[in-house]
Amino acid sequence: MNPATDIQPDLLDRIDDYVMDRMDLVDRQIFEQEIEENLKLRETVEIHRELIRGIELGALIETLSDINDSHRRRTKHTTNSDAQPVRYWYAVVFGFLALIAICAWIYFKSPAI
Amino acid sequence: MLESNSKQKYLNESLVNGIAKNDKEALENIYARFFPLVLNYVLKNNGDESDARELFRSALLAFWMEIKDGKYFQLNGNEPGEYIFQIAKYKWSQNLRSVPGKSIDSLPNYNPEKERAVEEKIRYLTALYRTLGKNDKEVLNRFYFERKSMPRIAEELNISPSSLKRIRRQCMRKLSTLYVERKELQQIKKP
Repeated sequence: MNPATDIQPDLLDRIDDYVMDRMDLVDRQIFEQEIEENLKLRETVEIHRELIRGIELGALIETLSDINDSHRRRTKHTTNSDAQPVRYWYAVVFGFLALIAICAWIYFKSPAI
Repeated sequence: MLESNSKQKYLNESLVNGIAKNDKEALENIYARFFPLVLNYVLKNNGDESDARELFRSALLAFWMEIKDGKYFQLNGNEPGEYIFQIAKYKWSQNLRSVPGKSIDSLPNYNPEKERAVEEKIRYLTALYRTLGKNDKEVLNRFYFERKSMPRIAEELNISPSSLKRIRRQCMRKLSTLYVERKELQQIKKP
C-alpha cells in the first residue's frame, strides 16, 4: 500500500466532515485549491526525479561501456604479453639447436677435414 | 571469523554506497570482482565472452536500479556479487530459452515480473536520454551523475555560471516536455 496515494475511508469521512461543517464555501475552495496545487507539485517532483534517473542511467551506460572497453583491452594485453614471449623463446631455442645441428653436419661431412 | 565477516559486510556496504553515488571506482571494483563469475558461468553454458560482457552490463544496470529505488537494502543477506550473479543467471536462462537446443544447468531465484518492469523502465529512460545533444549531456552528466558543483562545471567547461544554469534549465524543460508527451502517448496506446 502506498500511504501517499491510498485514501482510508474513515480519514476521507473526517476530512469531509471538517470541510463541510467548519468551512464556508470560499474557505473550502481555497482549501481544495491548495490540495490540488500540492498534488501538482508532487507530480512535478516525481517527473523531475524520473528525469534525473534517466540522465544518471544514460551516463552510467556510457561509463560502463568505457570500463568494459578498458577491461577488455587490459585482459587481451595480459594474455598477449604472457603468451608471446614464451612462443618467441621456443622459436629462438629451436632455431639455435637447428643451426648447431646443421653446422655439425657440415663439419663432419666435409671431405676437406 | 566474526571479524572477517564484519569486514566483508563493511566492504559490501561501501561498494553498494559507492554504486549509489555513481562512483566510477566502485563500478570498476564491481566489474573486476564479479565479471569473472559471470564470464565463467556463461562460458559453461553455451555462451562466449561477448555474451558475458553484454549480460554483465545488463545485470549491473538492473542492480543499479534496485539500489536507486531503495529496494536493494530491503533484501538483507544478499551480497552484491551474489545478487548480480542471480540477475545474470536469470537473464541468461531467459536468453537460452529463446534458442532451441540450448539449456542451462540451473534456474536462479529471481522475480520475472520485477525484472520485466525494470527492463521497461531502463528502456524508457535511456530513450529519453538519447534525445539530448552532446553538449547538453556534458552539462547534465557532470551535475547529476558525477555530482559536481555548478561553479566547478562552469570552470571546467569555461562558461559563465549563469549560462550554465540556463543550459541546465533548458535541458530539463525539454526533457520534461518529452517525458509528459511520451507518457500521454503510452496512456493512449493502452487498451
